[in-house]
Amino acid sequence: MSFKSKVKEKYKYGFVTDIEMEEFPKGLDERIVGLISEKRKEPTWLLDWRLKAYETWKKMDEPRWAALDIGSIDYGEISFYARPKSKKPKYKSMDEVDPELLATFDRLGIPLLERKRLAGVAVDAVFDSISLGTTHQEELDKFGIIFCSMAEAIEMPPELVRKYLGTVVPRRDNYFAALNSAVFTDGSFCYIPKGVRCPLDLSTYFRINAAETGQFERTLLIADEGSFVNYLEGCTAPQRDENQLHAAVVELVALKDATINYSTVQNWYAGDEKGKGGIYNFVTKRGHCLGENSSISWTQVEAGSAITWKYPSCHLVGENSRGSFYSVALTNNRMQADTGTKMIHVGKGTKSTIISKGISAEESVNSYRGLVKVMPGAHGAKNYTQCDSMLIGDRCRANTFPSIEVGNKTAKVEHEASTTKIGEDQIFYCRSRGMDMEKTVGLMINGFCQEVFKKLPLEFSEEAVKLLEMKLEHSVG
Amino acid sequence: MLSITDLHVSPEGPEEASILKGVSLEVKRGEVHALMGPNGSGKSTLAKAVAGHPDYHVTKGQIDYEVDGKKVGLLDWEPDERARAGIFLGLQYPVEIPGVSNENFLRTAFNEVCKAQGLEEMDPYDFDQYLREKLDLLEMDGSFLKRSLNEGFSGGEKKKNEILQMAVLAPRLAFLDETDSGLDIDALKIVAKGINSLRAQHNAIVLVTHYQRLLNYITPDFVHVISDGLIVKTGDSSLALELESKGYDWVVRA
Amino acid sequence: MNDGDALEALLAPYKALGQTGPDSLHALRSLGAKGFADKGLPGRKDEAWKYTSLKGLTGSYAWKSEGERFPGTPPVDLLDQRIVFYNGHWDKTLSTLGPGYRFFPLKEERDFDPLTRQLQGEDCFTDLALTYCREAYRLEIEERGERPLGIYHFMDKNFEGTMAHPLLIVHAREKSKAHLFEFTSSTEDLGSALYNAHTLITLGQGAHLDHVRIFKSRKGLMPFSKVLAQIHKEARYGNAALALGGSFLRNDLRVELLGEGAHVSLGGLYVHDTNEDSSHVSLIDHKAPKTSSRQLYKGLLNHHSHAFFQGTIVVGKDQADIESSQLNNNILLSDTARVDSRPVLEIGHCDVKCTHGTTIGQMDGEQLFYLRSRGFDESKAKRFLARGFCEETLFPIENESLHRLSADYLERSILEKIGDGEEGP
Repeated sequence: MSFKSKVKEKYKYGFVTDIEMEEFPKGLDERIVGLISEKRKEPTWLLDWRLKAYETWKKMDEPRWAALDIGSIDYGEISFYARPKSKKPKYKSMDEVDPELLATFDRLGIPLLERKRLAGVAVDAVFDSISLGTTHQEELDKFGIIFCSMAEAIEMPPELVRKYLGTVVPRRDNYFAALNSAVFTDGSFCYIPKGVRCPLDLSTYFRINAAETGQFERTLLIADEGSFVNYLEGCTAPQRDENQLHAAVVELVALKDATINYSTVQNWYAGDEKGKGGIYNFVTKRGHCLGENSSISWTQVEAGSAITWKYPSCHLVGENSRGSFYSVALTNNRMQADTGTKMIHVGKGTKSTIISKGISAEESVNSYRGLVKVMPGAHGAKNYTQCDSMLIGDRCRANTFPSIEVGNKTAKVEHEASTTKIGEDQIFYCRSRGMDMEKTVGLMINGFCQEVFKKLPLEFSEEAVKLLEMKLEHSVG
Repeated sequence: MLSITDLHVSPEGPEEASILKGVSLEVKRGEVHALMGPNGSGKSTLAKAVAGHPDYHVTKGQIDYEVDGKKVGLLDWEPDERARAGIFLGLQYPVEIPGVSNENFLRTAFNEVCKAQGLEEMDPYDFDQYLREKLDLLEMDGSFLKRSLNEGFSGGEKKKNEILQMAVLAPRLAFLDETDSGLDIDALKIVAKGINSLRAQHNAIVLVTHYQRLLNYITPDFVHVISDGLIVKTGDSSLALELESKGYDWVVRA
Repeated sequence: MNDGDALEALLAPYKALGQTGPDSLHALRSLGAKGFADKGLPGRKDEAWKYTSLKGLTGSYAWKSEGERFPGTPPVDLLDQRIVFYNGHWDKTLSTLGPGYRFFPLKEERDFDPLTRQLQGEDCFTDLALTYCREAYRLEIEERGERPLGIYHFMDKNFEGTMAHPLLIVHAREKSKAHLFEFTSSTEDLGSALYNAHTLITLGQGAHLDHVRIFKSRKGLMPFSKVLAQIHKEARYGNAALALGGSFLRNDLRVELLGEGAHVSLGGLYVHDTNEDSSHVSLIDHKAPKTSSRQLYKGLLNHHSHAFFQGTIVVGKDQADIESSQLNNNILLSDTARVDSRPVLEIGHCDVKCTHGTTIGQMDGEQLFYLRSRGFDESKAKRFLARGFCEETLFPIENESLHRLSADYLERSILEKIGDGEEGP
């Protein structure tokens, strides 16, 4: 079987929205940090917090250890703040938002206006660095659920942001976390009160539009005792020649008996077939299962971005808490992904499950990097990890770099990994039953990724399958 | 030989729901009993509890076993103590133990029993002879002996291996858990032949089975039906035939 | 002492000796010394060394350029064909070989040329070995032998405070066959001593080599053992490394499969008790299509012991039709035992069947029950399972007599260590 080498990248989100933007001068120093804080009318404690982060960032070196070939990022050429010009810095309702912006989200198929919404999804939309507003406020208010932009949350009593910000991902955790802590402009904040099962799926869509900007959003989600929430995150960006930087931080806190399911379908622009342009996606995502029986689940479908560097992780502190990671990572053309997870078992009876499926095609490189660590006090800890790679063609690479560190004799850890190819026999069988190449590839991918797709909310899983099919259709056969 | 009185057993721990909810059973020397019942009724659980499987907890009741003319309470005994006292459990799903050869395993197990009974252990040469006789009985060839215990064996082969062990260890009380499952007609006949040849006045056998067909070849003295953790009916071998034609519902509903 | 001091101390004897030596290897040694000084000792950031504790490396070791006769009683019965190293130097008097083998020292630079190329780009411990290289030894395997050949590395109290860097080259001719029983042991506790052994193996087309390496030392000895093997077309290499005692071992294996039909089987075992530690790092590089590899590493870890396993399988872009499997199973017997495992895959071609896995857990409860239900008491059942568990790692050894020899030694060692099965505090 010969593989076609030409791939037509049909990135349908590659359009640019024409709108007047307010941008800061490029580069980063204390002054810019101060300006960001001032623009957003932030309290002093937060400005101090940012400045300390900036100091930390200056002392750190960009990480070089991942199996990635990264062109150097010139921080002097990035503007750290961009937002649509408007009289007000915050939007009180959807009606205040520029119709052009709303149209952008419509084109992306994302429902912002109340009357057009998908049933059961509350959306917080972030356009460049600014949150445009959240749908369904009233309904959520009834339950005491807070779901709003970070900017609004900072001022709210009972000062939850101040209490939890940086507790899950400390500023000094890594280079990009420090950078984000200094310059984050907005993001989503969510608080689910005790015993509340969130009636809607909560969702955030990120869209980078302005050129030469970086996106540094910060998300903080707190699930109080006995609560439950499904959270979805989607991302897109226009097709550009230069690389754009996305360095986000997501912090999740689950208290006793609480459950957080966080899903991401990421389709940032990945660069063209020659590897030009594309988003640099460096994200730090971490969840603390603080309370007994708490549970945090990360589900992701990564199909875009030129360079992906993200390791959603769980610290399993509460007794019998559970962490899981389900991931499908697709790389094509010249994309590079170095992704994986860290599960740190601290408390007794903690459990973790890792299912990672990597699909690489063309000349891409897809690496899984994971850490399962069982601390001495984690009696009866259990982990099951399965990493499978599917390679299409003979020019791509799939790497698996797991580290397993166990310090307790009652722990049970199982790690399995395998590589497969799309079998010629299987393809022929499907085609001999009347399925065309596209359907066949779809079927195979679906089968390969079943376990992960099952974990996504229904609309997302359909979207995910279509996304992967589209990305791969010219790579096989 | 064996008296089970009001036995309550639950898996994993006393807080879990009981699978056996008060089973009582008497097995005398020279008898063959069949224990039948629908899936999930507790048949395997009873067998494992008698053998002393650590995952099954006896929450109430008693098991008495006759050793050297005296009655002992089995519940205080470890699984190997029970085995050395002549209790044998033929497993439903025999495990594979890579690295341990079939031959080595059989000889060591045999010698443990010998030691317990005050007999002299057999040296490898004599044991080999002894083993050959038993292999012939079960129409098995010895090529598997050097391989690891049960490794790569089909379901039927594993069951035959269980019966071979029974032949080698010559137990006084044998619980055979679904020994007939996974066997084709020929293998079934051979296994039945092996079991029949081991029947004697001084020992007893309890056949745990879902289907009647094994009982075509081994006629039991008693048939018990167990359902939802209790023995609901006891009869002679004709009961098995009734079950064959009427199914379990008939007994359970009564 | 800090890293800088340790570096200086390790190079001190080399500098003291200057260019003396009746050989033409000065250039080679100076290359080694420069490489070592440039690279420095590995730090915690070095992925491959993160889990290996080098704190026993005191840095100040004496170095002897000449060997002596082994004066004591060997800790194991010697095979009738053997090569014996005493404190790092070849003991001619105790060594004896039958027909089909040739063994001789290499002292001329021209003999070293291909060797140097092979050793370039390796880590600092290889540079260190080159720094002290006065001679290497070459073993030629010329025929298809059936009897095992012993390679013994004995150390006694005289080795304390010193270091040795023996370099052995094994060349198996086309279609030859041999079975090596390599045994490294210090018979007494040594304050500190460094044994940095390198073995370079080449298997010619169709050659077959079984290789058992047993490491059983007492406190203080720091053995580093690096094996670099090149397997050509249709050749087969089986290597089983058993770490059965000692406070430290670094077992490094790199295998290159260079021709179609080449195959390597690697077995590894570490059975550790109080304060024992070993690291097993392997890399198998499939550099030709239609090659295969299989690895099975197992560990039994008791009180206050630690082990590190890292197995990397690399498949290059043009290599199709590759089969490779790797498994690491660990049983922790005590709350104070620790294990770190990294099974790594780097795959560059779609036509491969590669699997790897790691398990960490306890002895299988079902297997234990099965044995007990057949009359084995608890500790006997555990010993039986431990033996079965460990013996599986001898799978690469196809020669029956070598297999038996190794299994017997293994069984005795396990009985010593795992003894009564039940752990203490």
